[in-house]
Amino acid sequence: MSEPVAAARYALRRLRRRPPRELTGLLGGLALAVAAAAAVGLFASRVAGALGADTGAVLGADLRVTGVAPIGTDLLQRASALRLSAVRLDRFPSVVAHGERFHLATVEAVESGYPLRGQLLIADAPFAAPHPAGGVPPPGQVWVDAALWTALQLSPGAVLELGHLRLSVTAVIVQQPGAVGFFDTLAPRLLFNRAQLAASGLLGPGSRVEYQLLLAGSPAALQRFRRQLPPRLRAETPRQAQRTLDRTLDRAARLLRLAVLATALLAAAAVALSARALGLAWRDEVALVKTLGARRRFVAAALCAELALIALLAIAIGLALGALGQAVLAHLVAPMFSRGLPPPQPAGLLPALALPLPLLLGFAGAPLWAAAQTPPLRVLQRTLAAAVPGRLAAALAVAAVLALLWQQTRELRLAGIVLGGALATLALLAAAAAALLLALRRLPRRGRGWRLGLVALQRRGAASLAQMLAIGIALLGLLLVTQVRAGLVAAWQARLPADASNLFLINLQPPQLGDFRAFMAAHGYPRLDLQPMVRARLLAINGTDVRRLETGAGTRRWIDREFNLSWRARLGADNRVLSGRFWSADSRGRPWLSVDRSMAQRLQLALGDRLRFDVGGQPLELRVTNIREVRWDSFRPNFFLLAPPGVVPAADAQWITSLYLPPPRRDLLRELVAQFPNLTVFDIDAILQQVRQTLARASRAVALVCGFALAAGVLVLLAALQAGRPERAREAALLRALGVSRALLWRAWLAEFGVLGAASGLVAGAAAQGLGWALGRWVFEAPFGLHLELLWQGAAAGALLVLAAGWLGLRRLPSTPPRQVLDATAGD
Amino acid sequence: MTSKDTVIVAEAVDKQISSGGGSLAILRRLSLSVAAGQSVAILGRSGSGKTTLLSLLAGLDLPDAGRIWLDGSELTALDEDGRASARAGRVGFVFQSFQLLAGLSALENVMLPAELAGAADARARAAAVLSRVGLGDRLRHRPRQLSGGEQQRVALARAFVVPPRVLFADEPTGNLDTATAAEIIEQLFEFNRRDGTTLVLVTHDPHLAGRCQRTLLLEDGRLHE
Repeated sequence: MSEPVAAARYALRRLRRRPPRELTGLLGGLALAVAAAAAVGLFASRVAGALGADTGAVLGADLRVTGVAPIGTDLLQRASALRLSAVRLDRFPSVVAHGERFHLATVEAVESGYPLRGQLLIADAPFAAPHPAGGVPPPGQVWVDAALWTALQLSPGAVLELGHLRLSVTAVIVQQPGAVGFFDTLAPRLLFNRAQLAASGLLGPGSRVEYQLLLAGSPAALQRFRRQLPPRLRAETPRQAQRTLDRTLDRAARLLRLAVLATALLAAAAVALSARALGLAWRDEVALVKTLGARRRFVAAALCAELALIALLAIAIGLALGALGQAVLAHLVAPMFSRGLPPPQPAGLLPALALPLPLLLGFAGAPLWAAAQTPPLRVLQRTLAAAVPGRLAAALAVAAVLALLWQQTRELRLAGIVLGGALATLALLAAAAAALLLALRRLPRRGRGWRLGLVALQRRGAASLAQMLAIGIALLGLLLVTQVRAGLVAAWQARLPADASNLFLINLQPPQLGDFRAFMAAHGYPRLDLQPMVRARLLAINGTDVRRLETGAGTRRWIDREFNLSWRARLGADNRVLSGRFWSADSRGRPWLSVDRSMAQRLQLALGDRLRFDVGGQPLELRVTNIREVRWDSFRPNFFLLAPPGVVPAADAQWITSLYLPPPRRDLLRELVAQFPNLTVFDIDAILQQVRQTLARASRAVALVCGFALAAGVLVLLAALQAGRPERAREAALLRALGVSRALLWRAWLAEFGVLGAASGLVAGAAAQGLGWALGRWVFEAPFGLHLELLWQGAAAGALLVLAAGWLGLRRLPSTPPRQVLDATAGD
Repeated sequence: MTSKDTVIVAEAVDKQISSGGGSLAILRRLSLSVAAGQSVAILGRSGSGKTTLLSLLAGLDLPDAGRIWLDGSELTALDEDGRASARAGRVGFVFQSFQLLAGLSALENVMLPAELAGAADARARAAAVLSRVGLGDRLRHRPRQLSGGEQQRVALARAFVVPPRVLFADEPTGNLDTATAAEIIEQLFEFNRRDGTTLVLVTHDPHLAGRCQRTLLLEDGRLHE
């Protein structure tokens, strides 16, 4: 029989006979890490599909293709060949008339089938109860929004003139998918059937039509469609179209990745602890088989074979658990998705399959390598053993942690924070544990059990410290995935409070400001935040005509549109300066400019750059003095461009404000629009609703995924206690042989485990507070305040868990005959 | 150095151990030669270096000075793998604490050296030798399910599953009662006679030493006949 075959057979035989407790940490840790990554990978692939589909409501489609020429039949045929649903929508501005009244409106001609995603809600009259439209306006009819209804003083059945058409007004649009970008389309909207578009006679030469093709279908087909798209057409996904939702989804994905990472890191601790214990147990075997004539190659082959078998077993268990986990997650979360969840993608398994190798090499490699180096002489001198190479172990562990971080986050910032956090936490835990061990000396020692327990804890010194560290890490993991997660999610949801603005009021003219303020104050809104804005066309950057700038088609379109330029004296709370300085209150009239980060990136702007605008026919040159980051999800009026007060010509300004109007007070809108007919009302209640739903879904998914991290934490706890078991067993046997009763032994363990758990928990609670703050500050941008309860929660959970785990691991020891234990551990 | 008739030769062997910051000479220019098939008992006080000598003769450790040959191989010129190869199939061991692998059955424990020696019929051989030591009905038992005497018999079977040229035994009866010890000694010498195996025993047991052809006393780091 060849050496490798003999080694493999030996490894298989050994694995079958190993006591399960020797393998719990290693097998369990690997399996849990694989399970968490597989569950999240598979589940995330489904949720991503579903969220993508649900956020399709933002566009009314999964993909929106826009062009300045009519959408040709070739594109429709291509969509049909890829089994994509497709409808056309043409949008253009036009003046509509009702009797003697005229108004500029954004006209949308829609095909039957619109919207492909989301729901079109209509009502019989402005601010009446909405109901699903169930289709598009039939030919001869037109639906208008509340703003146009009020502006033209319409009534049900009123006749509206649109080009050559005379259409009957039959409904008010309440919610329309795709009606986003409310600062781009300031005019009120109307919707009619595309079949009558040609008859309207509105599409003459020079008409400013935006031709849209809305598409829905499988992500793969959409991607293929997108790849074949001619460059003159612009494709937009729901996520690109909606910044607010984009941030929410990003944060949800981060939370899920963090939960997997927490599981993987806890699993790493379990693997490391278990491998250390396994390495110690393997020394005798290695020495014996070497004595019997085995060469190092045989030992290494047997060891690798056993590890490979363990890894395969762990992957199988992990994948089964992961599949089950994702199914449970999907089952719990699916009702929240309007169209259920799509099937999981096999690619979702890749991060899970990539986990065992770094975990094994990084955390089990060094102790098991040391075991393989055990000299054969150990059969005669049990104190002989090869030392675990400290530097190699540290290097392997750091490399593995880096690999894990990169695999799971693919994000340098998050990886850095987690790594820095982990190292700082380890140092803090070690220092605090050492301090606590010292403090224990001062504890009163009344009662034999208590004294025996504390003495044992102190006698073990370094071992107690290591154990406290391991238990502290486990408890920290538990606190992070339960308490800190809940706190962060709450803080995150608090960013979108129940009374976040749900209405934007636009188009207030300067002479109306006084009356408007008085009207709103009389109705309970004494302090509205009114912001001015003017339409500004960008002419030149640093003296270079923008028409001569070399840019991509997207940026070119962006430059060619009009910007909303606003002014204010102080920086809003939802804005943060990234570079430069925001101006002080006495900067009135200075030609300065504050630019949003995304705009600065798109136009490659730097501090000091000069931008020349055309504002209502007057030139205005402003110098960039700072670049801001805007929290667009604050639902307050915000602008890409800001200047100090007194520099922008204010004559043509219109004013904008946002407010929260609770549903029972919706009647106020009717009064408001009656008094200020030119006012445009944007109702974003539906968008807010969608953001809140997404938050709720994401939080629930994260809570469930954290279950794996929780299990991994418990495993670390068990592995940490298991690591000290042989020594405890030997001590217990000695004490029993010396006549100590079982009851006293249990009392001593109660004291030892209680103090060990409570002290570790206290330290973990403090670390959880710090990490929670750091995560809130740098990752989730949600404040995590002072949570002193973490300290007692950590201490209580630590004491209870360590006592329970200790009882589980040692319950048989006091009844095992001392001789049996002493024989088995002689020389250790 | 070893001839057909000589299986073990030790030449001017020194061995020191570190002890409390200093070093202690355990063996001093010790020389020994053991003929094939011979049974040798090494006696001495506790701490006299008997087990150290055994570990050197078996190639489990290396001397600080001197040379050692085992069945024609110069152990002191080989690395750890070379010494393991020199032992495989040629050397058997019996220890005071039995040294069975707790996770493996009696049969699997005995099969292991045969497999390491590349024997294709390891299982059959192991079963046969276990029958010879009276454990034919205990093949599937784990060590903890066997008595001390039975465990030592499994160890004996393991040592003889590939008939060794040399058997090293370290206090083989140290953990056994008198009657069981006598049985084990009987079987040990039975193997010695049948297979012509050379026996090197370290013992405190005068009864066991008395059964050997040569008795050597280790004192002050040297052997006295």
